[in-house]
Amino acid sequence: MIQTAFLLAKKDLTIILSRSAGLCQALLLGLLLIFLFSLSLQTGEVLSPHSASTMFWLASIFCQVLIFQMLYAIEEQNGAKAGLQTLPCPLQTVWLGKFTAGIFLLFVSQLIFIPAVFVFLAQHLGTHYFYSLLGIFLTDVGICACGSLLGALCVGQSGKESLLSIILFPLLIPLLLSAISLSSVGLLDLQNSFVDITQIYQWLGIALAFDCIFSAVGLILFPYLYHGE
Amino acid sequence: MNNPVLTFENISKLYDLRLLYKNVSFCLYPGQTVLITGKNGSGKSTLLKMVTELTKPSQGKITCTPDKKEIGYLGHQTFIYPHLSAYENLRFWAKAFQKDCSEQEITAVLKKVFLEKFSHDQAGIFSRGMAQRLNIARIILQNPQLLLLDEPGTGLDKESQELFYAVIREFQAQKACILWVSHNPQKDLSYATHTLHIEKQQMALTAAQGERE
Amino acid sequence: MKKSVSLCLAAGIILSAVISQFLIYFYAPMEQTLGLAQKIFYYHLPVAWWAFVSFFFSALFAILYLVKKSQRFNILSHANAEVGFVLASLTLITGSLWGKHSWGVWWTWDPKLTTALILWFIFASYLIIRSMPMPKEQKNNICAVIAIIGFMDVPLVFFATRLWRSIHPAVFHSNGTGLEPEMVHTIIFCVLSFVFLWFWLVSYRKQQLTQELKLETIKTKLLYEEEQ
Repeated sequence: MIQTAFLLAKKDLTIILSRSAGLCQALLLGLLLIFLFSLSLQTGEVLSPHSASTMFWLASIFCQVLIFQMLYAIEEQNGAKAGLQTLPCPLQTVWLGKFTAGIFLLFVSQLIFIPAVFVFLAQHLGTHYFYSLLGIFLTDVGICACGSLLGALCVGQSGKESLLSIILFPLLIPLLLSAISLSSVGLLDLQNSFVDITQIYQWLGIALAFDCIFSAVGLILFPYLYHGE
Repeated sequence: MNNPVLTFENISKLYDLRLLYKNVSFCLYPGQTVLITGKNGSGKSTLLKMVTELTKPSQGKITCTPDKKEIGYLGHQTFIYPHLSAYENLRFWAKAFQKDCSEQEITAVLKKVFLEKFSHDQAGIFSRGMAQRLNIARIILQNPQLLLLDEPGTGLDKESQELFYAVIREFQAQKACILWVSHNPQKDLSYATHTLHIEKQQMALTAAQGERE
Repeated sequence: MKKSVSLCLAAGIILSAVISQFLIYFYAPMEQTLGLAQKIFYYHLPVAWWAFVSFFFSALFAILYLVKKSQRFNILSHANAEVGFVLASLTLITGSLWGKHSWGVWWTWDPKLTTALILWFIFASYLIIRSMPMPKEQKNNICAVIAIIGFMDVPLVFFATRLWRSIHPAVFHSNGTGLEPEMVHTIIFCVLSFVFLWFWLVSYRKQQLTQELKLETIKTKLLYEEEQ
């Protein structure tokens, strides 16, 4: 199962990264969001790390929605979905494969968004950036677990495109709160340099709990969504 | 030889509020080519879907002897990723069905379906006929014991059609079991050993009249 | 639903509604600072409670549906989701009015408020999917999955917003303490008396959905018999 999942992920990455401009669209959208938000700053005004990391995650989740729509749209074009459904391994393989490809693409886009936050939103690196990196990793796992589960139901029929965001965003709120708090501690706050370490651990705990719950739920429920009928 | 490939025991199926079959039972053996006939909406495709476990019967038990990787499905949809080359498409599906294929084997199959010149072109540029030939190549590589055909003949050009029938002959020679939903039953009947007629929620398996061999 | 059960429920609803009104306006004392507006509390808490109960049952029946594949559970999950959505909408409206009056804001990052709003969003998309044209079984599965994950999200939302609030100082401080005993009695009675209305709504909706399914089954059957 894991082997086939990697095979699927590799195929998706080949298609998206080397053969189409799909990821570039998602990246541009994210960058534009960050840039547009920088317009709200007046000259000389410094954005708080909190707002900066909110923008970072806003860009990330919009990008992630596009990524998963792309990943599942690949299977619709010539009915390859039916082929995947008949593979000699459990349907969860598809979930795992899309999850792997999705998280890789999200990492790649964040490698571009992170410098963008520093450049456009005038941020500086703080001392606790290790926690932020850990937070970004845990959050990405959770986001992709949800995205991979729900991406399956949002392609194919017209009128379903915005559905993914409608269901996904409310679900992700606890994770995003944790993500925003965690990534803002990695940025230097000029007004208030106090960082509460115990709270950081609580946020990491919430992110971890989210990852565990939604990975399990994703694995259990995915076959019901990706079934033939 | 005498072990059934596929057994339906007292199958009933409710599809979208409609009872398609009621208490249907039959057995299929290796080497049989079964043409499924019946009116539109009588549940021909659903029958194939139940074999591949894409949909479960509402009641009853289906036993399928071959492993899942030995069940091939050839429909009018080609399963082709337009951004991958013909070669990459074949390699992906072969690996996904856990078949170890060497480069030579894949190239040989591509040659067989007259696509060797295009093996490294992206499949997105292929015509309908070429795409369907690539689809046939996929099924040759998979080499299944149980082959499910869901109107694969739709929109095939003459050359591809001949190739398709030749491939069917080969599978028959290998004693594969074929379940066939056809858009042109009159023509395909000559290839079938049996017909499975679906009517009024029942199925009747009969030996084809013009049975060969 | 049997007629006698239905009548009993109706009697229960009317009786409990009359008694609650009496308790709210004559038994419970007037709040010193908030005045008459505080009475909204006696409506807000019951609808919030029963909205939550409905969502819980919707998720529970969704799990049962996925396991047993019985239409009964699907319909029960659907009925609970609808009733829950209506009650959650009322919760948000009454809560907002109450918040504006007592804290001076329409909205605040309170764990309970946020949890209610998120459940409302999730079940709103649930109802949108219910109204979309797609194969029945697929739709039922999707809706069941959404009901389940929506409810699974609740504890996470609650803890996350509680932690979040300690960063953003809250606009108000524990307002709920110091209720007078008469107020407590009234609120308990109001919450409990809602069971009649809730049960009646859910079972009525369940009955409607069951009949709808029956009708559709007959319709498809006739349609295909005609064709054949």
